[in-house]
Amino acid sequence: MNTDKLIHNLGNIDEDLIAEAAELRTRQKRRPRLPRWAAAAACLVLVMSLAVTAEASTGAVSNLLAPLFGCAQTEIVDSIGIPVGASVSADGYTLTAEAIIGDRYNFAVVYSLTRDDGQPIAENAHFATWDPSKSRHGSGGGSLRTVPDEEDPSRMYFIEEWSVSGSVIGRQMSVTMGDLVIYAPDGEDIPLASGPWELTYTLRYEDSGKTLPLWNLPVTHPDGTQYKFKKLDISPVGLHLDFTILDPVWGTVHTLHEQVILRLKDGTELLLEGNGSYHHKGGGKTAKGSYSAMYGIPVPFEDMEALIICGTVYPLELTE
Amino acid sequence: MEDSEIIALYWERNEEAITETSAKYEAYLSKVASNILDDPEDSRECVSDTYWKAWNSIPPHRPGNLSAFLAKITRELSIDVFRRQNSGKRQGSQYALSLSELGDSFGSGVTPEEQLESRELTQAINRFLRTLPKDTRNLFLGRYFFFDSLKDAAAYCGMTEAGAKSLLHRTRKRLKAYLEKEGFTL
Repeated sequence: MNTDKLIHNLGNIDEDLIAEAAELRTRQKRRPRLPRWAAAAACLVLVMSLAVTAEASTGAVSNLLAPLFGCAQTEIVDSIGIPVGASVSADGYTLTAEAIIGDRYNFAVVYSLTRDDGQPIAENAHFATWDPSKSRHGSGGGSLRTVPDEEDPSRMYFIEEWSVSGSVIGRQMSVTMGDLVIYAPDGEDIPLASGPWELTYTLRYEDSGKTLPLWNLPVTHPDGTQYKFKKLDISPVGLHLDFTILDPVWGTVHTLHEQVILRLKDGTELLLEGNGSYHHKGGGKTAKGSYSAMYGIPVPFEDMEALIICGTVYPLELTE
Repeated sequence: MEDSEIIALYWERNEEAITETSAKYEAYLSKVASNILDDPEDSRECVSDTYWKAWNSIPPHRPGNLSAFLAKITRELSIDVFRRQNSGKRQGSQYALSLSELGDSFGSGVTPEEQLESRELTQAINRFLRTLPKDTRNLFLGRYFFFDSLKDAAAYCGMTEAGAKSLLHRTRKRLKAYLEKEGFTL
């Protein structure tokens, strides 16, 4: 086959496939996080050994969200996160949306997948397709990753995370997972079970965020781009920035990748990996944009010291 | 402005449609063009031509996804310019590198398969892409639809460059096997 013809026909593929890839391209880079399954397993074992219904209910959300955050900051997780408990079964496997946590612009969902016959789920199993919510919540990006359950081989977890430009609290979300397969590097995927698994739920968690005006805080990116930051929405689990880019360079993709850091009072600096987008205004002389990111661990307001954007330090004085 | 409102302007034959399209998508489309063409002036011209091609296509078209619709046009126009400028000599841009990679798997000669309807081939490619895990599909399209550099595509897919290169190699092989199974001779 002529390569030119292949290239030409790739240009005529379905627009939803192009849009899906385009959305990812405009996201900031998301590095895979370190697996937290060890901590998650420890939390689950602790709950199982306690086996006290009343106490389990008070800590239930942080246990359900343990594949996401481990045992970190369970008080915050329990106060913001909410259990979901929506399940759907197909072909001997049950997918359950266990719990959600988030803020106005970021959220994460922990799903569990269990084998109904109690047998181990094959290693490297994953869904062949992931069709996230059709609901509109602005631009931004999301990801789906797997976390094994070291204690129970008949269960594995999936974590879906989104950071977007529009407020999501109260919105109804849906997700459709396609067939369950084992990825074969040099051949066809090996089918495990036929989907789809479809779930719908509402982001009903509490709005724990605060809004701070940044008064057009001027910031210069290392590449020379001038930003003015207008507003910060910040919560114990994530943040959202609204900004203007001055004189955006034609043909350049402006990005805040590796430029936003949350500094804690103990000196720890969390390099955030979020999603940003912008669009041109005023005939291209400026661009209006936003950036949203979720932290790797929950952070109490009183532990936050400063936000560092492109090296510019903005002190944070927040209390619960 | 929402895409649906921009499309409505096109249907009303309101030239604000082009202004709004430019305001919202110029950076995005210029990246598509500049990945194929080294010369900024050529890229700018292709993006401008994209607006006019969209103007002449809507109506009758009503794109389901405006950004993807525009990206297709910019890509096609830019490839045409590249071909005119580089007949017999392809080097330099990410497009040229991507073409070279695909050439390793699919050859570059003219074969009877070129007589097959493009629509059938496109449909087969669509079906193949839908069999891929999402990350693999987006990496493949980032490299071979948008012609992003391997480094950039690996970064936004959250992979190492070596991992992305290996995955692209396997995916090209899978595409070749799939198309052969579908009756396309490669």
